[in-house]
This record gives sequence, structure tokens and C-alpha cells, in this order.
Amino acid sequence: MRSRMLRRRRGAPLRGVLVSLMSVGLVTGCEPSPTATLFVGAASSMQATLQTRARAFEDQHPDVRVEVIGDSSSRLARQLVDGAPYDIFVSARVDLSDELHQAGITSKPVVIAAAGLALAYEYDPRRPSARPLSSIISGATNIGIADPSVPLGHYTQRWLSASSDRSQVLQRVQSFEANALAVERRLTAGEVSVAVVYTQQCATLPRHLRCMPIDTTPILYTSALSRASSHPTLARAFLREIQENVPNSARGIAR
Amino acid sequence: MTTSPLPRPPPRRRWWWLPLLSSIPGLVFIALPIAALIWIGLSDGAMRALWRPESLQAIRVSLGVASAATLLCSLLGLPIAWWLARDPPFGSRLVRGLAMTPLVMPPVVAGTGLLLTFGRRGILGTSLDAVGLPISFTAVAAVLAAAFVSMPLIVLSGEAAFRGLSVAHDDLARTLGASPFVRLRHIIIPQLRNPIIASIALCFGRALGEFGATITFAGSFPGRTRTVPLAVYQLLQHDQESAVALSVSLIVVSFLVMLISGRVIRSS
Amino acid sequence: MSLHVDVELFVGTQPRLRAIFSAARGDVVLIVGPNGSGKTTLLRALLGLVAPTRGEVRRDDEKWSSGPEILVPSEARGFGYVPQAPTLFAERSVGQNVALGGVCRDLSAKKGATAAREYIEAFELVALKNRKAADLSGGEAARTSLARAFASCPRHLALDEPLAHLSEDSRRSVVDAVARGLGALEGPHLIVTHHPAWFSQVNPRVLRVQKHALIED
Repeated sequence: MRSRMLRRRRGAPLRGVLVSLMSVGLVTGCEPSPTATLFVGAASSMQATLQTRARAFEDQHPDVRVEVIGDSSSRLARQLVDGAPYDIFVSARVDLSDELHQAGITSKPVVIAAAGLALAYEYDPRRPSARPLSSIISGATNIGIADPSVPLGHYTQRWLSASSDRSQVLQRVQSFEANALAVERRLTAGEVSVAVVYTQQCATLPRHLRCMPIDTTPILYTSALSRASSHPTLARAFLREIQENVPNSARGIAR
Repeated sequence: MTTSPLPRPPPRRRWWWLPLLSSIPGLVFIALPIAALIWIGLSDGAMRALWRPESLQAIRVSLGVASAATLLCSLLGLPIAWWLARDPPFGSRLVRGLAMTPLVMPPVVAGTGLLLTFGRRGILGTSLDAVGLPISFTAVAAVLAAAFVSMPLIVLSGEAAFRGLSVAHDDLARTLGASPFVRLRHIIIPQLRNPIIASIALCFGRALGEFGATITFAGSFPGRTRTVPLAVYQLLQHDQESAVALSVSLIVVSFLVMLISGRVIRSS
Repeated sequence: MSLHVDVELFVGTQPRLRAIFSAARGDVVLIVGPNGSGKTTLLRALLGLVAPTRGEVRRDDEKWSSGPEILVPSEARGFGYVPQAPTLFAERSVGQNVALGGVCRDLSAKKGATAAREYIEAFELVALKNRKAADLSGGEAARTSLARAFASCPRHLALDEPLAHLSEDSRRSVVDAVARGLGALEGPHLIVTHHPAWFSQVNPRVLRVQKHALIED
């Protein structure tokens, strides 16, 4: 009599599929990877360069994976303070790296590259000769800059406050992007015709875009080891790799 | 032998086409972006991108996080639904409001709240960290983030499920001598089975698509917390084709879950 | 064994019914009265589903309820209840519904199966055994509800207008089956009805509700 109540055989195989779908996830989705993984929190404008270094490092150390996670330096610094498990922090803001060092969260930051700001703009074949900055700005329909809360935006504001084209630029700005790569994306997608980016981003821009350096105050990129790293020896090895090789590539080897 | 004529079908109501016609704009609105995604996502390059280890890894993380989050939501949320369904004399409006809050909170704000509670410097986080149990930026954080935003769904639909229980049937079983265990097994659980399965599927779908709270509280660490939505966000910066392929995979998984749970429900 | 009832039933602050009566083993008590006179409430109080506002319900020396406090729960009172609405499980078959009686009472598998078979036959449900309860007519559902109550092998039966949905022909055979079933059980039994004449073959005692009172002399 009880078996008559339990007449659910028809549903069993389907439920089985549902349960196995979920348990595949439960069992394998959260297991740690067998090889050692280094997490590098990198300012997004450095992401591409560091990924090249990461692949080179992985070739030399076959059982190590290096994951480069790009975001704005300010957000990365905040995450580090909140205990995010980065092994290495590459920052576009010296003041932030110094703060973290003072707080004992990272080791002493080492400068690995210097960069500047550049104005990237669409090349107009009708006016091939180099144009003055003001002409490019006033000829733009819209301009892309980063949000002042992120390093690129911070440096952009610094330049603007000392520039005579400030009002012209601000009139044409429609949105403030979340990081350097977002600004670049707007430009390459054609949604803005002029953008303020880092000089090393110029190397990887498509052909129809040109760059003009605008701010001579150098922006320093630093790298540091996180004190909470679970693989300090490996992390130091990768730090050495960055510190020795990045200054060459940051000046613009095409991806 | 005389056969009576077949009964005529009832005459069509006037303006029978009105509900159908007025639904079309809404359906088109939903269908077009999905169609666009599928169109790009099923191209050769996109399909190849899907089989890359990073993509598969993101799918695995997503499935694991969503499953664990759904389990957590069920364990924590169904008791609330049960209590609310009994119309308690006090506190129900407050509790219901509280349970609904994650639904109206921007997920990033929810993630910030979680960080303030469980983060290294958070209310509970400092003690947890001291005991060697850091939560933020781990897979556990991703699960908590997804669970937090999905709780309202299971509380809401769970309450409907519990309200649907028939007191008359339970009373009858009691008079026939059924112990609470017998009533639970033969009367209550059969009535709850289908609505609760639907609630769980709903919760799973929401947990699968969670982004804002996850990226804020758990960060975007590949293999650990980088779920499909986070991976798509990352990929959109430089490889739109792969991003689309991964998005389509998530759509397919959600669709499968809804399909399977629908079949399970109908197979009683 | 006998049931002793001396209760006052209120609904909210409105007095509904004052009932004082006893019923001995083997008695079949018919409770007759106008609509809304509290007959169903009285039945539910005896079943333990509601507590009377005042008074007590007793079986021999065992106090079932005293005042508004229920001392012995419904599960332990040994009733087979057939409510006014059949309250079947819509998604289950007739056979499964009837068998549920035995499951609730926790009868042994063999005893439950035998009882279920016996009453499915007695109430002429054999042809409908595999039909879903949702697809039954009013009369068929009423018979299924009766069969379920009997198949749980109760001590007492409490029937609330059991013949209401039946046509005249089926009424006769159902009353026959009920009479036979009641004869096999201990009793006392209670039947709420508007038509005491239909039950004459079970030799009932008829108690009538008059002016909110059901008092036996």
C-alpha cells in the first residue's frame, strides 16, 4: 500500500539530472587548483603589459599560474585593506602604494615604470599635418576621460586644472569612465573621438588613432609584495621578473 | 444506430486576438537582445572561446556557487517563509519588509554591506579573521553574496507554498489518527513538493546571474570567485566574442534548469 | 464505552450551542437541527478540532477536553470523520485516498489493504479505483470519503451530512453499506443530518437542536 503512495518513478531520472548538474558545481567549482596560483592586482592600464610578463613567467615555471586581475588602483588598494588575497600589487598611484606600505599591508613599493598622459584622437586624413592641442579638442564632438576617483581620472584632473583648454574639454565630456581600459574601449569603439589615456596605452591603439603627450609630470607605476601572500617566494620571483622587464615593454611593445 | 452530432466548440469571444497582439511588443523586447546574443554566440570563434579553460572554469565556479547559495537560501529562507505563512500575531510586516530588502537594494550596496559585516575589518570579520577564517574574497564570499540577493525570492515564493497547505486536509488526517510524522510525509510534503521546487529553481536562476554583490564582496578571482557574470564583464573589455559565448552558455544553463524543474513538477 | 458531552460552544462572543448528552457503545446518534445551529461545530469539538468554550467532553473516565483546553488530541480519539466537503486528495486516485485512511491510523500493511479493499467494494468504488479524485462527481467523492473513514478501522464514526450529494438510488445502497460498517465497529457513532428518516435502518437515537440547545432528557 505504501508503494502506491510513492509512485514517482517517472520524475526520478529528470531529478537525477538536476541534482548532478548542481553537484558537479558543488564538488568541482570551488576546489583549489592543484598548481600554485599567484594573484596580481594590477592597475588596468598595466594589465596588458603584465599579462605578457605573466605568460613568460609561466613558461619558466611550468607548475605556476599567474592571474593578472585588472582594476583601478584605488579599488585594488581598498580590496587589499579588506583582505583580498592578492600576492602582488601594481599601482598607478604612488601615494596609494605608500599608504599601504605604511599600514604594513605591502612591502616597500618599487617603481617599475613611468608614464605620462596622452591625448588620443581620431586621425583625420583631410588634415594630415600635426594639429595643435586646442584645435583637436575644439574639433571633437565628445571626449572620454576617466572618473576622478580613479588614478587616470585623478591625473587628468591634475592636468586640466593647469591647462588653458579646461573648459573646452569639460564641455565635451559626456561620461566619466571606471578605469583606463574603459576609456580606451570608448575610443576604439568610436563612441568618443578624443580621449585622455596613459602614454603606454598608445602603443596598442588601432591605426586610425593618434596620440599626443600632454602632461610632462611623470606618473609612476610601482610594484609591491602583499604581506598576506600565500606564496611569498614565488611572488618575489615574479616581482623581480616585472622589475627587470617591464620598463622596456611599458614603453609600448604592441600586444 | 443514430449518432448524436459532435458538440460545437464554444464560439470565439469578441476581440480574442487582443491579449495576443498586446503581448507581442513585450515579447519582442525580451527576445531581441537574447536573439542577438545567440546569433553572435553561436559563431565559430565564439564556440571555440567557450571551450577555453578560463571559460569552463567560470562555468564551474558559477554552478558551484549558485548551488551552494541555493542550498543556503533554502535552509535559511524556508523557515522564514513558514513562519510568515502562519500569520504570526506580531512582527510579520517587519519581517516581510526585512526579507524583501535585498530585492530592492542595489546589489553593489548589498556587497558593501556584506563587506562591512564579514570583511577583514567588518563587524564579524575581525573575529573571524583572527581565528583564521577570512571570508571576503573567497569562494564562501561569492556564495554569501549570491545567497543574500536571492533570499527574498525564496521567502516570497516559499510563503505562497506554505499558505497553499490545506488545513482541512491536515485536520482530517489528524482525526484519522495520523501522527505528525505521517502527516508530514503523506499530506504536507506532497503538497509542498511542487511549489518548493519552483522556488528553488527561481532562487538558483537569480544566484546564477548575480554580479554586483559578488564583485564587491568576493572580487573577481579566476577559479575561486570569478563566476560567469564576472568573467563576462572582464572579457567585454577586450574580447567581446568570448564574452558573448560565455553569456549564451549561462542563458542555456538557466533555460535547462527551468526546463528540468518544470518537467519534475509535472511528473507527479 | 460511552461518550459524555456537556459543553457550551461559542463562536466569537456569540453563543452557538449548548449540548448535553451521552451515547453508549453501539448507539448511533443522529443530530438534527436547522442550518447554522452549530451541529458541525459540535462535531468538530467532539473530534478535537476545536475546543468548546465551556464544559467537558469525556469518554468513560478519560477527559478529552475541559473548558477551552484540549487534553486528548484528535489523533488519539479514534474517529473516522466524513466532513461535509469530501476533502479528498485531488491528485491521488480513489484507491490511494481510501488506503490513506489505514496509513493515517498506522494499521499494518496487510490489515490496511484488507480494510481498503473491503470498503471499496462496499461503497461500489471498484470501477473507479484508479480514477483521480479530482475527476469524481459529487456522489462518487462522498462515497470515497466514507470508504476512507471506514477503512481506517476507527472506533467511532462522525459523519456530517454524508448523503447530501447522493441520488435517491445510490442513497439506499450507501445507507446499507454504512449500516453494515457501523455494526462492525464499537461505537458510539454520530451522524449530522437533515433527514433522520433516511437512517432508520441503523436504529438511531435522534437528538434535535431546539433554540440553541441540544439537551437529552
